[in-house]
Amino acid sequence: MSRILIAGIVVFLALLALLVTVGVHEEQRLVTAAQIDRARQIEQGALLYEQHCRTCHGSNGEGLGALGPALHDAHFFTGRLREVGWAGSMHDYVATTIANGRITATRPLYVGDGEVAMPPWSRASGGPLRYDQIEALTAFVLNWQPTALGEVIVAPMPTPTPLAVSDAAQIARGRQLYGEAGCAACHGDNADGVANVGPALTGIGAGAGERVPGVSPEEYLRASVLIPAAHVAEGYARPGDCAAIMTDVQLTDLVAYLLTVE
Amino acid sequence: MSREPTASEQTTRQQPRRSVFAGLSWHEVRALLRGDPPTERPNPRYRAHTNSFFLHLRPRTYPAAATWITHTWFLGLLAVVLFVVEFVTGILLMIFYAPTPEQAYASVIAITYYVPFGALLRDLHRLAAEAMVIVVVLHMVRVFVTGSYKGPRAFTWLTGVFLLGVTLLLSFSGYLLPWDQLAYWAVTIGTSMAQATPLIGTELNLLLRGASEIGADGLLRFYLLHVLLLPLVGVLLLAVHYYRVARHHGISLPASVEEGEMPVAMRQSATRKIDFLPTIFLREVLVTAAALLALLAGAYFWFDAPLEQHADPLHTPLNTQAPWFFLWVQGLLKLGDKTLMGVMIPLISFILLAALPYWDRNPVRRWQRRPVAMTLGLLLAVSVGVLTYMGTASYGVVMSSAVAIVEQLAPEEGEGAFRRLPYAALTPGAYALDQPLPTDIAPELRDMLTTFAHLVEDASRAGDLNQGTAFVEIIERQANLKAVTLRIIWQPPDVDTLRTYTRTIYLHRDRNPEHAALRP
Repeated sequence: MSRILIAGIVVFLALLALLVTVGVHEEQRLVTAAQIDRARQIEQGALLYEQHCRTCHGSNGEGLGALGPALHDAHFFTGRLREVGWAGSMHDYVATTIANGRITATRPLYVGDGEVAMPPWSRASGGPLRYDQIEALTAFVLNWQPTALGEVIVAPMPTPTPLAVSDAAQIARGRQLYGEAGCAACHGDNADGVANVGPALTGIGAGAGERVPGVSPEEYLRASVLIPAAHVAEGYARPGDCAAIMTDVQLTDLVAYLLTVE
Repeated sequence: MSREPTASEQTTRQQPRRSVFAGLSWHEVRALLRGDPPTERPNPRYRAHTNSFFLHLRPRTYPAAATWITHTWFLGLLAVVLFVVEFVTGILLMIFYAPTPEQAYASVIAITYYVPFGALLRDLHRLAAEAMVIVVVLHMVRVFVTGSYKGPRAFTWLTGVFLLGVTLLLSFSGYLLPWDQLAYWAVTIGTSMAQATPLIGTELNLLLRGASEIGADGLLRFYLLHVLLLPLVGVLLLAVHYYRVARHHGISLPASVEEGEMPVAMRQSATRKIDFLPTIFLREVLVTAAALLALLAGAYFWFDAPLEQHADPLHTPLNTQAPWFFLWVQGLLKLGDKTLMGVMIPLISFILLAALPYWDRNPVRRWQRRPVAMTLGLLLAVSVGVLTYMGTASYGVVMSSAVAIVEQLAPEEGEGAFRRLPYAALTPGAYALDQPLPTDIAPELRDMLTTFAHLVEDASRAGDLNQGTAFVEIIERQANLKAVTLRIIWQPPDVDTLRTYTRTIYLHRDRNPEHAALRP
């Protein structure tokens, strides 16, 4: 009988010790579990972004011309809410926009004045996505914040031959695009400007870096090509909706030309 | 001003304590827990069996041999313990679970990641459920081998086989509730078998699913089956089952004692009466505590209740598999006709099994003297084993080599080899695996890429992937998020163009078990 008693006491003490262990670690587990869940959402959101969002917002959230704004830059995380007059949180802004779309462009510079700017994606609004998928996408989009604000730098994309900005062929392609995309209509055939319509762009590679604090010449030009009204030179009217739809490579070519135009 | 309480006052003061302990004094309870003999005469412990509801369910004495561990293995007790664990954890889970397609998965995610002790609760519920299937089957095997289903115990066996049925149905109905891919497709297979039932198949399927496809109605039906109807049936059957064991015929004596020609002294010692209080009681408390300890440790340290992606009726997973305890039915289905193999044979086997004591009229109990019964039993066990193997996806399901290789390394569901790599070892880059690998990559990644290359090479040599080459691309997409793309390109001999199979998976640093272990 005493053997059973001893075994019983040992088992009960072990059970008690295990329960205490579980209890003591639970708070930390909840912290870790929330991180894991966020990571799970971001991974799922990345897949969904690849399926549904990439075609308008770019593979890396860089935006594609007038089709969709960039989601990966500092402006999106610091200026957008003010721009659209959103009083709630960034999370709610992104989730609501994905779920319900935007009937008209929230910023006057995008296509969509008078037409649907972004289609609704939630099932309730006739889209394909479930609520949890919208949450996952939101988590993924918000995860661009650390890189957008420069807190984290990700490894550059492994491209076999990096594009050189001074590449003559690239600049030539950019020059050609300048004509084809309709930039010349306002900025002149040789980028020397049209009085009262569009400022001259000669030498802008040197001056663009000083226009807006914290914005590099490349970023400044890139944003201006995608959104002509992004930065309006003093003395000129806000340009109309003339942004070109182009691929990321084309955009890089065009910016390379503009950086070097004399 | 205080005075000594009188004797009668002392007795009155003792009253509430005595009624809590079924009429036993504190002194007596203490002696009982220590395993000491009773302190009063007549033995007050027998009175407790009359006073207490729970104790009156239990016999006052057991024949010694009926409680030999090598005879019962405590399997009946363990099944009840697991049932109670399921009951308690199930009720707690019901607080957080919502049985609608919109909320079910989210509520299970919330239980796993946000509810305090939620993951443990779910792991316990799932682990105990799977253990219960095993324990109930083992209980049946033990009763079969010891020949304890014979004679007065025939009806008890019948209720026992129905309890096994209830256990399997409880497990199966609980399978759907997380509303993930695993659940949705396993239950789709299961209910489609109901459709194969002759005459009433379509109606039965409709009754279970609530519609032609499993949806909101089907989920609610399975939920109600799981939390209400099946537990109720289970409790009623258990009551009948246990009442017969406790009051009608008792636990069987080992056949060696009942039938054996043993010396009188040995027989006397085997059949002498053992009191429930304290001997059996303490033994049961010990077994219960040990079982709980094992369950808790298992759920906490090793077992994670599975949870796949959200159920998606439009996307059939690569490997759709029934729950493991029904794999034998899936194996049967691969053999032929849905109605015959999926419904008739399981149903007939079940009826034959339940009615076993009524057609096995051989009165002999010792297994050594029942060659026919033992052979049949062994045959049944072996066929269930073989059919279970045939039910798994690895048997008879042909998958394209490229898909199979990628699925092995980076599966749609679950972890896979690439997910197990440390996040830091995923050096960004584009790797053509038929070329020498760069020297500066992590050794873990190098091993993984070599494995991938070998798998494709082997398939190429076997002729499945003619001139197959493998590529891997790792890109850092965001802070702490990398995209891993696996690509296989090959030249099928019968067409001109190259074929490509590509899959991209995303890996977040915090998802990696190395960084963020749920366990200590």
